[in-house]
Amino acid sequence: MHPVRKKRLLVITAIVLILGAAVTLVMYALQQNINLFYSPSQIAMGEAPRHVNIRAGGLVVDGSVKRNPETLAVVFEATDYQHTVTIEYRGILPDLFREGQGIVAQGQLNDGGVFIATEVLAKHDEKYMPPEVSEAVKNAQSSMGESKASSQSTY
Amino acid sequence: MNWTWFHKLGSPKWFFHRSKAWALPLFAVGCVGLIVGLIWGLVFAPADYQQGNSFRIIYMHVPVAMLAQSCYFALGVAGFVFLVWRMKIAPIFIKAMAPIGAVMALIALVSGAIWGKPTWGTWWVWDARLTSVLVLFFLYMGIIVLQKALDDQVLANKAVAVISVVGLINLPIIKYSVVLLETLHQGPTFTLTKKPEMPSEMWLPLLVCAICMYFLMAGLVLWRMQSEILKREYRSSWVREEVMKRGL
Amino acid sequence: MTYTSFLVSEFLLIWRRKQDVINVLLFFIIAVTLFPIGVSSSPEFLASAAGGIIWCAAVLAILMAVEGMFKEDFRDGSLEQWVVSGLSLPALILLKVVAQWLAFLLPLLGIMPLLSEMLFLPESSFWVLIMTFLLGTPSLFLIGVIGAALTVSLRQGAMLVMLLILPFYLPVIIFSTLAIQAAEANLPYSGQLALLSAMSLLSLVISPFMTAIAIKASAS
Repeated sequence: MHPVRKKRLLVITAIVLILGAAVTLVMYALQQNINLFYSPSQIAMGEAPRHVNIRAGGLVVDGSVKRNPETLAVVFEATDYQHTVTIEYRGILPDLFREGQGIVAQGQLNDGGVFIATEVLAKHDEKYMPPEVSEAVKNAQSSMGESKASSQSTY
Repeated sequence: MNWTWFHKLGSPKWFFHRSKAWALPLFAVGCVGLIVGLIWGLVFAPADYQQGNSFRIIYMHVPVAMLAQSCYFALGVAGFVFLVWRMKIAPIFIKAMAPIGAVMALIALVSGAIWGKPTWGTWWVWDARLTSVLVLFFLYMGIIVLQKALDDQVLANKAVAVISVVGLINLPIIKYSVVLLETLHQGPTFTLTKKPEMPSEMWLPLLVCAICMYFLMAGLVLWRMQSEILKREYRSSWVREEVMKRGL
Repeated sequence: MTYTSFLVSEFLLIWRRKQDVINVLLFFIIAVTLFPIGVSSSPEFLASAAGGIIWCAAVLAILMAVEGMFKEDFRDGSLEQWVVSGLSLPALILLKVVAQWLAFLLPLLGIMPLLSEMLFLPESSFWVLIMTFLLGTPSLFLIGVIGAALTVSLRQGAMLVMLLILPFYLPVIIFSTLAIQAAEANLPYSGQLALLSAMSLLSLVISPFMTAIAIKASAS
């Protein structure tokens, strides 16, 4: 082969190999939990570390929100329809915080498996609908029975 | 395939004459459409069942955020075209586009913060989506500053092209941060593969806003490019003719 | 000029200009001491922030080191010599980056035990800190030289390089400090290290070519 072409081939092969290695490393990294986000199931399985700042997310369980009338403290449960985790928080909740709403909490897990949050943020999805439509959807769902509730997509 | 249009694109003169008639109509259509879309979205579209009226900021936020990314993509492509084919029009395009992109990224950040306060409960979180858009804004600023700092035109052209291409790496991070990393930000509103997850009376005005925003921007970019072409080619005879003809 | 003679002369130049390396090191140490004095000197705060503090100071120090990398070569005409030497310009740039990386990183790592002691960095995360430096700093140098080459003809280029390059440094800082935090919490940190290596590999592919374009444009 012509020496210039041989050199060019060598360079291109090296580049492809390096890029391939980079992509493999990224793929590997994406399988790890890099940003310390845990679902209620992972917390229930004991995968989440204790006394470390982590983030947890889930849907607020209906009827689980208990507010302390004197302080701002609030206790509620978050679920991913398989397991739930109890979250304690003291502070102002976002407007969108309500039962059935997706939330992301930042805080630490204590020894009792209770998540002590320092920040609770409401997460909404890319689904938007007018109030009347959501009303209609809810009516339709309740007539179909409670069993369907779990088939609703998690946020 | 016929590539003459591509080669002709390299000539500022050809581009100037071809695009002269386009700037104003594009800008006008974009303006009118945007006003219609915004009024439609802000007044007539129904409120969201959870967020109420605060969701309406979507009609500003989503088009602007889309543009901020598309502008950068265009910058990167232009930079690549310049580095490979030395096309004269590409750096002019970059120079015209960068400030617009910067403004778009800034509006996206600000409108997102205003939207975030009532819905998430915070103005700002340091998660992947928000941070990467902030980086996008910094990249635009870097390009603008570099362009200004280098007096030598030839060097400036190359320099902005290089930095535009290198900055492309940020785009996939923005795009896929909401899908791959668990961020607070919701998923994409418009995707090519799925229908948007909202009724048509909500997404139609949004689509109108987004498309008209592109028109508006196209008009602005053409205008800026034309004046930049005149500035760079002021020595050539066709520019002199152009000026004489208008009686300036 | 051959590749070997180029590399030898690079090392010789670094040795003759030891003061540059010492300046950057001093800057690094002083920047680190700002934090205990300026923010809080409590061991708990410092222990949790040590990784971030060291990394931020190191990024600024590296930026200073990289910013002026081609200044002398531009002034004395070496850049033109490289372009016309008939050797591959990206390869020369890569060699220069490797030389500079070694020259700055080894002393930086040398004073790391001292600094981590000053900031009460937990023993367990010390080696993770070193690892993030080994895997992360190549991309800092590689990205930095693009900015340095673009602004080499400017008299006041330092500020511009900072503006251009710092945004690209953010991911490296983010994942390095995440790795150190994860190590402190006894969590796996291999994912973060993998991402750092991926970034270094990616910049290894992009940087020499982009820098070569910039140098050719600046030298002519």
